[in-house]
Amino acid sequence: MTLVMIVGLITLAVGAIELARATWQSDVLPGWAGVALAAGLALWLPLLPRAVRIVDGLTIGLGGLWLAWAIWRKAARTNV
Amino acid sequence: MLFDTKLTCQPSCGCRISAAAKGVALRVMAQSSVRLRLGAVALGLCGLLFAVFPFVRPFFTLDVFSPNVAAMASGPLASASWLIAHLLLVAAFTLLPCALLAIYAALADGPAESRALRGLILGVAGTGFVVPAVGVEVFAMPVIARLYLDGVTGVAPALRWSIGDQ
Repeated sequence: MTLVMIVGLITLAVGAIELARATWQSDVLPGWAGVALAAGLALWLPLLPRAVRIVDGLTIGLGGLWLAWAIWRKAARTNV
Repeated sequence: MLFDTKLTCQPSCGCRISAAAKGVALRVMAQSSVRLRLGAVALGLCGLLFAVFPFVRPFFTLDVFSPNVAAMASGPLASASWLIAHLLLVAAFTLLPCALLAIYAALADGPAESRALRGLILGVAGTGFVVPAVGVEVFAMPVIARLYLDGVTGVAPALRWSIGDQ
């Protein structure tokens, strides 16, 4: 189980970093929000101590909400 | 593209668009907007759930090599807060592919579309590999811990294996 989870966490981290790089290249979404989400997901490791996991969760939350707000604004601009 | 938001035709372009075609274009744009907003909601909710999870989850000293790992871990693993936290985590990981899809959709008409698609595919695949472990944490480990606390003998190795030895 642990091996499967490690493979998943690494794959998820690489995917999140790629999305962050794509976000950084675009003018549509805030680059730092993508970086926050990717950093949080890449460091989401079950065996880390509580303080680190709280900071990590808050980083994911910050990045996710920030990106969600930007996407909502983009949707509003394309609304008819 | 999954969410095409560039369905525009300028009056000066010279092409003739029927009223029906304009209606279709407007409807597609409205659908794209609604889908983007749904994706934004999924993304925001997903982020919130990941942020709440460590505040609810009980933390305890964990040494998977210790012969007393079952005695140390069974109390927290059998608690309601462990179950609630990990159900929140299941919801977070369920929403994560939708959240990543929303980010891709917002970037799909830009220059980084291929990189965003690569990130989406890897992110969804990675989530698929992580979710079984979350399932063990939410459905198997509390049951084993409850059995141990109830005095059932011989279940401690199962707890150790599910935590980290396999």
